[in-house]
Amino acid sequence: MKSDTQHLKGTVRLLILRLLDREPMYGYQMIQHLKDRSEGYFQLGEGALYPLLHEMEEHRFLRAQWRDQDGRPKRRYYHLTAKGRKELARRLETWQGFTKAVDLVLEATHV
Amino acid sequence: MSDIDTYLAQLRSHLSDLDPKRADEIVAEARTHIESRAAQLCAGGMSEEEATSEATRTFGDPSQVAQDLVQGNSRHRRPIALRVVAAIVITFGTFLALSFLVLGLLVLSREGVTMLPANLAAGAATIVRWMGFCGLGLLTGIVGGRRFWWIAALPGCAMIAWVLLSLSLTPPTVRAEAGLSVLTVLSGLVSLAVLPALMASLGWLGSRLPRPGRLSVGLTIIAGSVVGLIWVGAIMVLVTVSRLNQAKTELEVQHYGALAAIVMPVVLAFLIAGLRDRFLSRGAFISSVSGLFGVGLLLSALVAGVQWDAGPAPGLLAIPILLCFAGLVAILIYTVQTRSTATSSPPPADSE
Repeated sequence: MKSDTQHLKGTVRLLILRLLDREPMYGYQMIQHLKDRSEGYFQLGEGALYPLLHEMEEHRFLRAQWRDQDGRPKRRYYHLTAKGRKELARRLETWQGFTKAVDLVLEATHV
Repeated sequence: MSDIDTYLAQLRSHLSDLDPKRADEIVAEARTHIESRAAQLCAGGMSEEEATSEATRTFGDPSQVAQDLVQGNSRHRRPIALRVVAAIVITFGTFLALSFLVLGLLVLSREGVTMLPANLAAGAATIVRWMGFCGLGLLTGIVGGRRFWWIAALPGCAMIAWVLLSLSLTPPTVRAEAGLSVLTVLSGLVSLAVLPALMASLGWLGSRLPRPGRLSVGLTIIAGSVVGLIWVGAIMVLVTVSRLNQAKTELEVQHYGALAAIVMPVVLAFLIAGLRDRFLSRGAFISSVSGLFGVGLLLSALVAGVQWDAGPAPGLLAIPILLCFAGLVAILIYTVQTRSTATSSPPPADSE
């Protein structure tokens, strides 16, 4: 369903911003981190990650830079910008408000 | 060709709506991702063939991935409507200039210069000239892209340089005769400064318009040279017809040389823009620069022919100077470009 897809994309955006808040990463590394930290729950389609990254780059939440690797091909690292940090804070607040509201409803209807 | 190359070629073919440079960057990024994944699968016990096949499969269907990427890169998308408008403007301008050139040549060859009404020719020359400025500024921006749009201003700057040089070489008695005080010259230069500003603006606008795919350098140089030469040819014919019968002062005739000198930076702009596509060999580059010198000399000869009756011709001196300067700039940029392309695969540093 379209709404599910949008919701998932929104969640993944939040997770990407959160990952990059700690350190710059390249795409493949992000996928590995998401998979490992979610204990295999988030197995993001690999080709689906880059459109999201580029979209956030266009919004200037992220900045990308090619970096040399010792004896290996260059990789494109993504950094969080100041605007990205603000976006992360906004999304975290929204997320926390959302989960809190859901929890409240679930608890109230719990028998 | 490996599975990865085949997959990336398919992906690249679906990214044609994006700016070519951005598309190349995306493909380079996808390559590093897929190769990393394949290496990891190999380490897990898969054969190389199985690993590359699995890595490309999990990256996704190339057309679907490309579609998402084009949507995610809206800032780099090439608007089709603008592409069509640009093509119409350039085509129209070129054919208009060509028709004027043919008309002028026909009139000259059959009736002689006195038969064409001077005012009509002068009006046509002005229109062609300004259309040429606008069209070439736009075209230079389109071909030059976001890094080299400013080259469009060079013709205007060259024209100002030419006027200053001509004035400095003109005897004071002739200047006084023509009523050219310092104030008159300065005010003239201020109005002339509109030209580089206009061309720079159009170059900037052109760089925001779509580039027609990945231009080969040969096509770029030929297209640029043809448009530039047609334009200058049209101007030379029309200006000669309109002005020679009116006033044959030395200063006025010298300005025709300025028009001829304009072609050099314009053609140079296309040459430099073509270098961006990284296909130009050293031999081809040197031949092109030599060819440009030949064009310049030919134009110098034309200017000299016009000026012969009017006394000394500073144009003979100034055009080669401009050509040398332009050639040196071209060689410098070529050297820098060669170095950067040698060390930048995949694309360098920050995105945009």
